[in-house]
Amino acid sequence: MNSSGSLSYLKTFSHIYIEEQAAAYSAAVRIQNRYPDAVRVPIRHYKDMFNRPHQDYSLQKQSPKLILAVKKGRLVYPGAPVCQDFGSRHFYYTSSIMNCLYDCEYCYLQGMYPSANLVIFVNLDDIFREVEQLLEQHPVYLSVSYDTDLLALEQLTGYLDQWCRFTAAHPGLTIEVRTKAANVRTIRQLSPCERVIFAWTLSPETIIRRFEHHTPSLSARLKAARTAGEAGFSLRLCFDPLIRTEDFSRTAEPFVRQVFGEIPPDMVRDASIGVFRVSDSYLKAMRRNRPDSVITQYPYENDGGVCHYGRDRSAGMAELYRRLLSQYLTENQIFLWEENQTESGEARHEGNE
Amino acid sequence: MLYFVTAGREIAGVLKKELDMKPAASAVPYPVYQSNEALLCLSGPDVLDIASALSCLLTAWPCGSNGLLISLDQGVPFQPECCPGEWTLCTGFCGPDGRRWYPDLLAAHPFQEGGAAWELPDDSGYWLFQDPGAWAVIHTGSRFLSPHQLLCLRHPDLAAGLSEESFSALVSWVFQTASLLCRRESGLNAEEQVLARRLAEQMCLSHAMALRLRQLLLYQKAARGCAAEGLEELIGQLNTRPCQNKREGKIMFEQLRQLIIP
Repeated sequence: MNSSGSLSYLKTFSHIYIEEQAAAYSAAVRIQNRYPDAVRVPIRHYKDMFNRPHQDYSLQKQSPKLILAVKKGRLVYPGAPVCQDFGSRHFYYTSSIMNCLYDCEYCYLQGMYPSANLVIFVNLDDIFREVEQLLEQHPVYLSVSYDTDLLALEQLTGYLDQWCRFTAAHPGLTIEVRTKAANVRTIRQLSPCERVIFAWTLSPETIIRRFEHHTPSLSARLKAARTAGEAGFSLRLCFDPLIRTEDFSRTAEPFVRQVFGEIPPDMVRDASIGVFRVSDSYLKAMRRNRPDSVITQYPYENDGGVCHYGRDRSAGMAELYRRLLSQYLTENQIFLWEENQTESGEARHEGNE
Repeated sequence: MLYFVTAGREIAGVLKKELDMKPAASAVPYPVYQSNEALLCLSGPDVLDIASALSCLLTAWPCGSNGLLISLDQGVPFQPECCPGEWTLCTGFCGPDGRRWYPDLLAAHPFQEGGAAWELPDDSGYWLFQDPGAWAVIHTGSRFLSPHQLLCLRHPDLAAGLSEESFSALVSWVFQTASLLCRRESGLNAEEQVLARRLAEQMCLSHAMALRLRQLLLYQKAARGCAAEGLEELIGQLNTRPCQNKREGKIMFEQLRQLIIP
């Protein structure tokens, strides 16, 4: 009950659902110890909880649960066409965690996943082994935080620290850690490695307050990004997704100025620009989950299964940011998501266990 | 709307009194009672009857996104000495073939928790009740409802469970949960749907264009709170003189689009 006497939601991670086979893993023990009061529910397979039909994603976000599981089958996948590969030939991604603590209205996860509950795969070592097998064939550029925010969950999992050490020990590996988090203390405790690219998603403060619920402010993210750069990590700035609002053009220049007022351009490895786009099947689920959102309900153009603002409009938005960023970065440092990448993000989960 | 289902006459009797329920006129071949806020179906203990009764109830009175289904019954503990002597919220279910199902637990509650299974699946201590009926409720209910809409409570001692204080607190919690989880009906309301249909006809829109119109109105509603906000002049224009052909309709559609997305 809350102070007014009405009922409240159960707190985050009030319950931990644990696969029988996951229980013995040290990661599972460590994570459970962080929530000693959580109710433990034994399950056979995470999909018994994660894949139930008719789940209400938005309601679940009010009281997300934790699921600890062992990931089976293929653990490392080729990178999706809708994702930027930054010129890397051998682009892969992996998901040691499904879902994110934050609640951004434009996030594709609410379209891709049937549940808002967090799944943590406790067999990180198996993922490391699969990456090592790939490294025997060629260098690997690996996105490790695409379906989640590893930095935001670092206090709970300790996975980022393991990834940093693993990357340092494998010279052919470069990893990208996409994040919106701002836990400066955590960043300072990580083992720095130049081949660990921290990629901060940045938006104008008005967008953050309006659409990126529970995320740190722009200034907090910039401070964290600067800390990562000073610590010796590579820094990527992601102006992605760009969201169309009435004041889009007006806010762009002060926003970019604020970014580079906090982060020296010579600290930045590169930057990516991407106008909002999403697969039509994901958008359908997103509209069901968030019927009152101007982002999900925007009448996007459907271009071969990918929904966006329209080619001309999207190009204009991207070009504005490219022009602004080019005042601080070289052309080679600015990566634009190409409009000819029209395959939906669903392709990357084919063959997923 | 709250949908109560129980196998037992004792629980049904107490619920009818608590919620002032009267027999409902319906074609459902099981006793159904209703009040302004709730329905109650007395299914009997047979597993097939439970599934059948629930199916009939949810078909005759479709639930939508704002209802809750509450199954209340006496539970038979696997190990009576280990079972809490109070109302217990079932947080996991195991069927005859070992299949598992878990409801979404979103609302704070005062109950003990445990699983209900057809037969004891393991010795984890989690499974408290042997309850094929619970599986029937969940197996059927999950076809109609979302996981957060299914609540199953069991008490090993019915007399204690139906004591005035205990039962009143339970019912009160159910209503509070419904309030917390209640979702405002989204999308175009009835009036706005009529508007969408009328505009599509007045603009001679094809089916595909009518769907695009509908999406524009949904966006307008999300952005401004009302689908017709800011469109009064254009709507008035179309009411006075509908478009004569698809070409005119397309021009008018584009004008409407520009009003909504400048």
